[in-house]
Amino acid sequence: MLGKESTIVIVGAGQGGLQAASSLRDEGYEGRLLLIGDECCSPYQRPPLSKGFLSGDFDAADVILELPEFFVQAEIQHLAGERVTSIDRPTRQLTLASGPAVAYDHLILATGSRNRMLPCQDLDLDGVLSLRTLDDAEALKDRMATAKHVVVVGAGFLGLEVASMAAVRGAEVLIVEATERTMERVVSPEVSQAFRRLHERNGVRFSFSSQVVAIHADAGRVSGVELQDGSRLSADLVLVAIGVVPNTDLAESAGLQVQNGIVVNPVLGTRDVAISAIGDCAAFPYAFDNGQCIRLESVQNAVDQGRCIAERLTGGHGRYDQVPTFWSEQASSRLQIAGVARRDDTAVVRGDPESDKFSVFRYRRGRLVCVESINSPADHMMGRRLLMNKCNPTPLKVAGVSCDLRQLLATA
Amino acid sequence: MANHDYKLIVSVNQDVCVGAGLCVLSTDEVFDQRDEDGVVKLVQNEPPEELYEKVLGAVRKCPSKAIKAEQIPKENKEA
Ligand SMILES: Cc1cc2nc3c(=O)[nH]c(=O)nc-3n(C[C@H](O)[C@H](O)[C@H](O)COP(=O)(O)OP(=O)(O)OC[C@H]3O[C@@H](n4cnc5c(N)ncnc54)[C@H](O)[C@@H]3O)c2cc1C
Ligand code: SF4
Repeated sequence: MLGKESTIVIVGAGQGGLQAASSLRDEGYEGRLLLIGDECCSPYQRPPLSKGFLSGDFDAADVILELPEFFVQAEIQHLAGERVTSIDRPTRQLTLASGPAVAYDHLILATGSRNRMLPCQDLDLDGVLSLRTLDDAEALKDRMATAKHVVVVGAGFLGLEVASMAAVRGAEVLIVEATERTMERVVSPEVSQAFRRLHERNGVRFSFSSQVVAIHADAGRVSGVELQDGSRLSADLVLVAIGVVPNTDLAESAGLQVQNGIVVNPVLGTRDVAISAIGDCAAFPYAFDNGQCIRLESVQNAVDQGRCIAERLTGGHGRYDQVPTFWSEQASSRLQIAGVARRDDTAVVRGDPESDKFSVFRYRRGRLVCVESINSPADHMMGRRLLMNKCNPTPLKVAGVSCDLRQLLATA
Repeated sequence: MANHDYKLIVSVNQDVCVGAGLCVLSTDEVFDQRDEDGVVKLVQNEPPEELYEKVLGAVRKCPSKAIKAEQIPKENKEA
């Protein structure tokens, strides 16, 4: 256990890093605590950046997670605008971009992820944007105020959320997606279809199974995109939202195992006992799928892993075993997901899939693995509980809307 | 903790809550989640002063801005 004389350093002052820091204090850790992040402002949350921030409902002050006073009070040294450039494991030291070395007794990597870029993407081209940071969101919001023809590349959560905001603002919005449906990687065809319908009703158009092969410009400003079939679409704003890659460089150059994320064990530790990893950057054994290694990008995952590591470092068992949850808001509808499904998991619909309010229960080899709910928070909550308690209601029962899910939980 | 020269009145908008439960993590003495759908519910709407920091933290951390904490100036407060 780490006592008064020890130093815990957290790299990455995002959702997970901040949670780990504040949970360490909540759990009674009394040693030195450093939170180092390369962004300049106070730690903030990202979800509103593609939602209420773009609509103007929230501003920058609304997304801040903790103000500077908090760090003083909790005795957390927050180094903002500071990048960690290397880890020397034998001497347990980090190097900062500004020069100095920092010693640690335990190191938590919470470096998050960064946006993937299109092969044809020119970073300097005016009007081609991506969205990850508060600065990105400010730039996007500015652009959206005047944009008339918006092309969103990628029909994942982020692209869809931004598309619905742009459509509300009256822009003509086209989403170009490489696969044949929305959110293809993570949700059932039924949910994909329902969201496609909701977006189309709002005037958003889709081009599925298509790829952007070139971005055209006029005097340094984006003028349109070209698809693989040669067709050209004019655009004054292009948002690239084709997923993220985990920030693993630090770990990799320190010789830690990296495979779609920094590989950790069930207690979120790397093979160096003095280093752990949490949040978007960590690939962890999934407790509900025989320890299959997965990496998730969600607030719940970052927060719960932050709490979990704080518990372990203060003497708790530290096994990470939470049911993953996720939410997204698009086209005035809410999607909530509990658990994790794979593409070929079967889908059992509860409710009317033609309506804007139903759930899909996903099964793998007869076991419930995930529940996707549209505008049905009660189903979502039940899904969470069923998964947590490893209950396995039969598809027949789940599909019968008259069947009370709460009873399934009680009798399972 | 310093004395506050205001009183906090807490309210929640259950229509926008996404049930993330972050508020409950901040303080379960003020926030709870409805059993049936995980939507936030208040345990009390005029929490004692020692919980003010935590309540204001919950307001900031709620991803859907479902929580409001109104600061009402205290009357007849001696200097
Ligand atoms: C626009 C947007 C909308 C989202 N909406 C939702 C949603 O609706 N629901 C949901 O559940 N999730 C959502 N997410 C995902 C969620 O925000 C992330 O999963 C979460 O932020 C992950 O937390 P993290 O701490 O792992 O990483 P981050 O919050 O990304 O924090 C990592 C930090 O580490 C810093 N860093 C990296 N390397 C270094 C280094 N070497 N030195 C110093 N600092 C470093 C990064 O700059 C960053 O500040 C959204 C994300 C985005 C971008
Ligand atoms: S933090 Fe906000 S969204 Fe989450 S449960 Fe509390 S009120 Fe609801």
